[in-house]
Amino acid sequence: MVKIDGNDFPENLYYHRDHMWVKIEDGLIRTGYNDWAQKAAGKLLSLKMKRAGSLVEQGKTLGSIESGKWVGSLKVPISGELVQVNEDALKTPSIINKEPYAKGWVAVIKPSKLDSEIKTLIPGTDKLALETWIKDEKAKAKL
Amino acid sequence: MNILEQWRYIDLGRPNPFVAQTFYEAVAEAVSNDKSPNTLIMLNPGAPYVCIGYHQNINVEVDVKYCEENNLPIVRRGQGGGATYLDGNQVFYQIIAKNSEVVPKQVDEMFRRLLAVTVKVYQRLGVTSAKYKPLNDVVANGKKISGNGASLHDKASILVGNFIMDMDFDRMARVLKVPNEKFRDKMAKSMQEWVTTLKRELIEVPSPEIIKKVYVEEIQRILGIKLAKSEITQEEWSLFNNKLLPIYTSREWLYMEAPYSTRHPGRAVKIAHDVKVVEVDYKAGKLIRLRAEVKGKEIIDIRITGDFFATPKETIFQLEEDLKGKKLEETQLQSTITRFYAETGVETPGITPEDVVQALMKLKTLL
Repeated sequence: MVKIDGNDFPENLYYHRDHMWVKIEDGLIRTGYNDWAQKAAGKLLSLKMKRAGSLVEQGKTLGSIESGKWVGSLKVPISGELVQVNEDALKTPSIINKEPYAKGWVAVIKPSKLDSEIKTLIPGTDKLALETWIKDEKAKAKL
Repeated sequence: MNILEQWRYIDLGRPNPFVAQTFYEAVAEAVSNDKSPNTLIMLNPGAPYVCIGYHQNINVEVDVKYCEENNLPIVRRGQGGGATYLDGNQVFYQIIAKNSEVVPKQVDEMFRRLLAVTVKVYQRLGVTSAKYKPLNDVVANGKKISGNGASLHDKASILVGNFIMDMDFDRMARVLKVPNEKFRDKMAKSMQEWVTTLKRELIEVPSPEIIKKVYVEEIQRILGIKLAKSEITQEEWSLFNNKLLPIYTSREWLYMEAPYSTRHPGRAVKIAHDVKVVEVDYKAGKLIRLRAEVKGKEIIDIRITGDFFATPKETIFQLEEDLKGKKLEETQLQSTITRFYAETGVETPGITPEDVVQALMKLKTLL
């Protein structure tokens, strides 16, 4: 586990700069919101996702979240077909705050361009790149 | 204070409801794409309308038929929060910023920083009791005096809020969907108690022009920015008219499906900060209907009805009194209900003490 300023970044994951994590699982990818982002957003009250079966493109909107009257969007980290959405997270969005990397996953995608697009993500093993990225984000967040 | 950033200021005057409530999204798109600078917009709505939050279900929240019969447009905004009636008695501020050192990306910090301006303006206008209430409220003497919401439009942060000069409380209660008229009455009464306005707080209500002037002064001073008065660009108008307005006026946008997490049994209307009026039915051997005003998890007021009988029937009023001030916590409620049944000897065929507790716990799911 990489720990940066109190935020967890598991080493076995990849990180999209719009704050989605990616785990490669048997030809599919599982994704969710990273620890830094869930803290910055606050307690999540609403989660809305595209439907399973949708084709999704990297960088485009995957879903929307709401916390305390603030609405933000979840971005697609890897292009492909959305095969599964986490029903538990849809019912209880705060599960994303409690377990962002475990029960708080939001979607499973069958990737269409994994080899090329995974290179645009930060690997969890690259602590320096993660630190630099989070440092920039913190500066923007005025933490 | 050193001036950190140069921003644009636009006074949109008194535009129609769709411009009032959604034009800033076009500005946000332009700001996000570096076509426009960070911007403050201020305006008065030119006509009354109903505004719902991004994740709300229009059919659950709004009496659409009443709005149609009374020519009240319904606008879904891109920010969170609840349904509200808005008209020319409010002054709006709309902040759109990207990569700004003075607009934090952390949500709680953003609200705290930007609502400090709203608080200061109210204080300067004479509402000396105005203060910030986390996460996103401004209150005066404990009552809500400003509504605020926020969002991220691509890379631009948006915060929208208002100064409430006056409010048509009757209309506000009328436009919302209610399960029955008793709920509406309770809701209307709660609004009167927990929401305030400049008209209620001051002898003389400042004009919109004064409010805007003071806001412009304070946002520059508090955030350390320099505002330059300007106009909307052709590109922004074109973006709004050609791309965004068709979306915001579409049936698809307005009747968008609400998230699963917002679907609850019963009805809950948020009145102010942590005050809600809620109603739920619980089916035991008989039906129990609970309608309550709740602050946080504390019952302020509750009515217990249904199709059951209590003997003696007046004892239900005592239970309603006993529950006032109690928190919606199972252990505390079990103790209160058990004691009530023991002390009064009440009989409620078809309803057990545990049923009453579970009905109250079902009410809690609406909070």
